[in-house]
Amino acid sequence: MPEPSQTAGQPSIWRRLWIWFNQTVGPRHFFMTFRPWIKWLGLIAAVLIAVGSVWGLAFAPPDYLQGNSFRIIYIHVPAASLAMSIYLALAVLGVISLVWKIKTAEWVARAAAPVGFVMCVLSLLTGAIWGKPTWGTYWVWDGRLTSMLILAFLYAGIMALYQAFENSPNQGKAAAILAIVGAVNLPIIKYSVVWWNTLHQGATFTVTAAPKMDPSMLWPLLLTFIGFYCWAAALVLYRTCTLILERERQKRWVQEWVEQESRS
Amino acid sequence: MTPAFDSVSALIQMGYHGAYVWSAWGVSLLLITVLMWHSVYRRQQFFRQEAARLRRQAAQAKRQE
Amino acid sequence: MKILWQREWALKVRTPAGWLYPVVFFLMVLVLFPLAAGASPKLLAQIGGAAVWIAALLSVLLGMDSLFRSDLDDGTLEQVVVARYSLPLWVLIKVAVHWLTSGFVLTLLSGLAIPLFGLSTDEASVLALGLLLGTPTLTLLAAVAAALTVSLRGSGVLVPLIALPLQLPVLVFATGAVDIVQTGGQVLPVLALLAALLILAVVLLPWAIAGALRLALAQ
Repeated sequence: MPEPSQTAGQPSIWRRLWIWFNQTVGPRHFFMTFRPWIKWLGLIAAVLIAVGSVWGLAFAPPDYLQGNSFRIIYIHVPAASLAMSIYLALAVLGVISLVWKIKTAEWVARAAAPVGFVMCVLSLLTGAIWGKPTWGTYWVWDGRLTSMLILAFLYAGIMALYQAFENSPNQGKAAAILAIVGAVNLPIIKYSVVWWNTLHQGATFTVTAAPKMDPSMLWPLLLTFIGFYCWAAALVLYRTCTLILERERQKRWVQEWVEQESRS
Repeated sequence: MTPAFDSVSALIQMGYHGAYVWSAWGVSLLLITVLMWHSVYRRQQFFRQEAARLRRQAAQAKRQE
Repeated sequence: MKILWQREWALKVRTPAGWLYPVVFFLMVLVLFPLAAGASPKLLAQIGGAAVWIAALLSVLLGMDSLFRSDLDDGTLEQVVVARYSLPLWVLIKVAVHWLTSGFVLTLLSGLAIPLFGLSTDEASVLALGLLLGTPTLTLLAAVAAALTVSLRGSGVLVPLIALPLQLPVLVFATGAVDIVQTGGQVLPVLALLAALLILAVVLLPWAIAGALRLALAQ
């Protein structure tokens, strides 16, 4: 099919995009391209999180039903969402690294896994602390909480696999397979847990009902949400860059970069 | 926008919810700080190792002269 | 294909460790439940299904660790790859034989739940049906973990750690089915779900397992 924008010798936008992509996934180009992003993403994250949390903690009006304990939401929701997003990202990166054999995809996954795991644990902890004043108990075996707990175990499995394969070239690939199998399994797990919950529900309360939030409460959440995503992106990029340095330490560009940094 | 609390002590107390909210935020801050610290630590570890290696190489080169 | 089947079968029944130990382990774990929770008939009837399933789950995991290791060590795995035989098919045969000597046996033994835990025949038959549909899926999922860790020495607890979260839906649905029967509900939809999971596992997982085994070979 003829490219409408193609003139003689001028590559189309898609071709250019593809070339750019292929260049950037090379370790050195990835490093050089994304290193500046870290600072900017970090800055944006810091501002958004600061504004969002101060707004949410000190300025948003107390909730009609929950009083002030709902303020935990400003850290709980971003953490839970990040935990899920990063796990899915691990699976997508796994597919990319296995199908197109792109090493940097493996390394981004390796960098992101601990971040996702910590976010998962964090969402469980903050959720439990939130639960005590709200439902009277730290833990309840409802669909969402139990799914998050299982996600934590899925993360633990991936981290354990990374650990076990620490000095092997197959580290990334093995974890990729597990991430893909886990991600395909994830909707099944969530469905089964929700189903299990309705089966055993004493019908005491619908724990999963989120409080109806009016806009004055919602805006700070949007800020912290985006802020934490930027933070996670910055942190993952930073960790990936460290991994690139470690894995490519024999290359000359790394050596030169190290010398340059140690002189400054 | 008006502040939701009259005073700083009210902010900390949060009408008996304070312990929960602040402990949740405290735990979050702690874990996030540890994660970030660990990332920086790994980077510094890399630099230490490479700097040591460079020194060794320089010393070897010197000896060979 | 027939040769492979016969080979795997012969290997399995040669040593008691192949087929006897998981069965004994299953029975031992079953016995642990009344010992730990007390022998009140009402309690045992309530947890009977769960106890059988946890025992089955653990004994499936127990036998899995070394499933592929001996084939990796003695070069059989390389042979299969070099001969360009379909690795997923080989995996399926291997897992099937393993299942026949472990999961399938456990399904038959689940009838013991009637005397030991006081389950009714209805509950026990749903339990057995659930085991029939569920243990192959459990075995395949555990095989994924086994294949991923096959090149590691002393991977012990790693296989259960990786496999258990993936196996949870099977556990949930199968024990849920027993519960439904206890309260007199429709159990067929849940069993259909288990069957669907089985089909999904049989179609998709051998490829993942084969991929993981190739990885181990490449080292």
